[in-house]
Amino acid sequence: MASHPIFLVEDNPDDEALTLRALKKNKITNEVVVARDGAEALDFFFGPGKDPGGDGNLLPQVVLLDLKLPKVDGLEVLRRLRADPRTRMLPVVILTSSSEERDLIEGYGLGANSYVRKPVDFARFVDAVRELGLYWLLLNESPPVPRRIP
Amino acid sequence: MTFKSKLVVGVAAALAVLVAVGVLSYNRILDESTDAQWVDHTHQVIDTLDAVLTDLIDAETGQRGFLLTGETSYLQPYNSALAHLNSDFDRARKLTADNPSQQRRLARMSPLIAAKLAELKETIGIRRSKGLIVSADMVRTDTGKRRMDQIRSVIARMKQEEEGLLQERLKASASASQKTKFVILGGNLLGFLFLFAAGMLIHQEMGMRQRIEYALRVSEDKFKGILESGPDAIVIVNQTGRIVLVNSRTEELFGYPRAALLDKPVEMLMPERFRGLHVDHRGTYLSEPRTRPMGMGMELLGRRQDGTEFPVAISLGPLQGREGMLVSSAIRDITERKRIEEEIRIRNAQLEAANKELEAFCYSVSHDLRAPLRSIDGFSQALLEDQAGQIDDQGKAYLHRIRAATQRMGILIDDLLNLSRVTRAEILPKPTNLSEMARSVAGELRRQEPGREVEFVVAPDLQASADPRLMRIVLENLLSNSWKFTSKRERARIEFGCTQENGSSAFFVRDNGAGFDPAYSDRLFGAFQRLHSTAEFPGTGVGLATVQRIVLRHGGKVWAEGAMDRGATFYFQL
Repeated sequence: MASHPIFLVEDNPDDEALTLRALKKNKITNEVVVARDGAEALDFFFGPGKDPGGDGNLLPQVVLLDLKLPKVDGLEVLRRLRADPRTRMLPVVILTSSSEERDLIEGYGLGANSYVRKPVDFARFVDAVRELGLYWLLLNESPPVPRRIP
Repeated sequence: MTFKSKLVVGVAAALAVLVAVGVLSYNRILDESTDAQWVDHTHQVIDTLDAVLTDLIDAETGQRGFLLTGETSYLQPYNSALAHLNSDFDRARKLTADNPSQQRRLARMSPLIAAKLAELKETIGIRRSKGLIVSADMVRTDTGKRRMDQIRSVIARMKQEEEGLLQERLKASASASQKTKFVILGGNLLGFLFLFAAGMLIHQEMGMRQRIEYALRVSEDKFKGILESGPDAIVIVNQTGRIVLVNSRTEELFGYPRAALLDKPVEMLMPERFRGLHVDHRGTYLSEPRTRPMGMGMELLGRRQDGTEFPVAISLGPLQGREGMLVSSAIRDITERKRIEEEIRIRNAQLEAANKELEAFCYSVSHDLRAPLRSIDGFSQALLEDQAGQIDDQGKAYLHRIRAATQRMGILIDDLLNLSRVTRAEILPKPTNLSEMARSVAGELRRQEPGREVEFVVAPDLQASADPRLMRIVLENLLSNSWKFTSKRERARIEFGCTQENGSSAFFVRDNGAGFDPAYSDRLFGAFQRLHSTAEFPGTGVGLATVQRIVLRHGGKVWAEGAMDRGATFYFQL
């Protein structure tokens, strides 16, 4: 089975580089698709001609979602993902530097599967990525793709 | 006795005395005229008796003269006396008619007189007939003389008696007069005394009345003063809702002169739309009158003479008057107060808005400040790992310092965020079990550093009414401080308990760690203040500032005791 990509929504290029590096250090070889703002992210899933989960369109194994995004912010992306039955069950991990309680509440309230705070210390960040990787890519059972009625 | 009866008695007594004196005086005068009449009478009697005697003497004289001379002309006195004697004697009898003893004497005298006359007549006859010598012999027998003497003595006796009677009467009259004099004097004196007493009484009474009037006026003035001097408009209303009294502040506030308000329904002072309701409320109040504010929770409005309305606060109190229940109301113009309240509301809204802005600011800070830090740290590490071969030891050391610095900054940002969150957060006090919380924090500390052996002593069941989230931050800060500063001790001991301080209880966290120099104790709680270098003990210096901020927001206080190298105790009271 083709390995599903990891979908990373991150506006900060440094953080993007560091995350990719961390994934590589942990020998996670899944393809990483990056969207640099909320609009791009939504476009990836719901843009014209896109059919999430349809033929040739593999749903990501996990979405690593930053919250503070330009154009459309992270929570709105989450809301949209959860609103559509095709992406409703998609595992979404909110990966953000904000530890505001309000974001936690909204994030979980909207149906995020997990909320991870990005540590400043890079070593710990690498550890966090490893943990995430181990969990979401290996241990977690992905939701089945919803059957399409032809 | 009341004043009135005393006065009546006094005046009546005076009058009685004066009347008595008058009556007595009048009687006395009547008596005096009677007495005068009696004196006159007595003199008359005496005169009459004298007249009788004189008549007899005249008769005798005439007889003797005739006897001597034989001349008829010498008989003239005898004849005239004879003519008068009966009438004189009768007169005497009449005059002494009321005196039985005098009547008896007269009766005794009568035959004597008759005999004497007879004898005179006889001797005269004999002279005529027989001549001088024979008649002289008759006279020499002395019977005539004896009879005359007898008559003389009887008359003398009678005169004596009359004189005696007269003297008696005069004496009685004099003494009666004397008595009357005294009575008049005494009576008048008494009368004057009574009148004087009555006068004094009146004077006294008037004096008292004046004093009472004065006191009344003083009290009236005081009352008026109270009424007029207060800041509130006072309106007193009777049971039918009519205004019976107002003060000048009422005139000022509502713009009506006093006269326009008295006896008018009190509803005229409020906007028309409230009047009907107010009439009902008045009835309700009268059924249960007590001193209380009016219209709790309602917006009350007063209406001025020019029609403008203004907000008021009114308090009511019942006054039991002589003619029924009165209601006294104190009315205050609260336009100013309302304006201030409105200002406060606006200010509060502004503060709320500012707070929200601050929150948003903190939110973005927490996100945006960390990101570059992550980059610095991450790429430094990347350098260390990927270019290990190309960087010498010095370079590596620099990179390590860079990483350490960025990590410290990250912690600092977190601490600062916590501090500001703590300042802004709403405190929701709940009964909180601090002992449990302390144990939980201790457990976390142990989990983070399982290698360390630390003795934790937590007093059981320590409760406080406080915001649990914020309390947790306090305990986390204090206990992790203790944890940190006992890291060099072999047998670290951290205690959480409660003690009595100035009559109220204070919680404390005590450790046997590095302690601090008490000379610097006032800097302990300042933000970013540290009393040890970072090399000795890591930390940002914000923890205690956070603790203080939280405790202060609970209305309590924090303080610390310590000594160099002998541990520290941090107290907090809520």
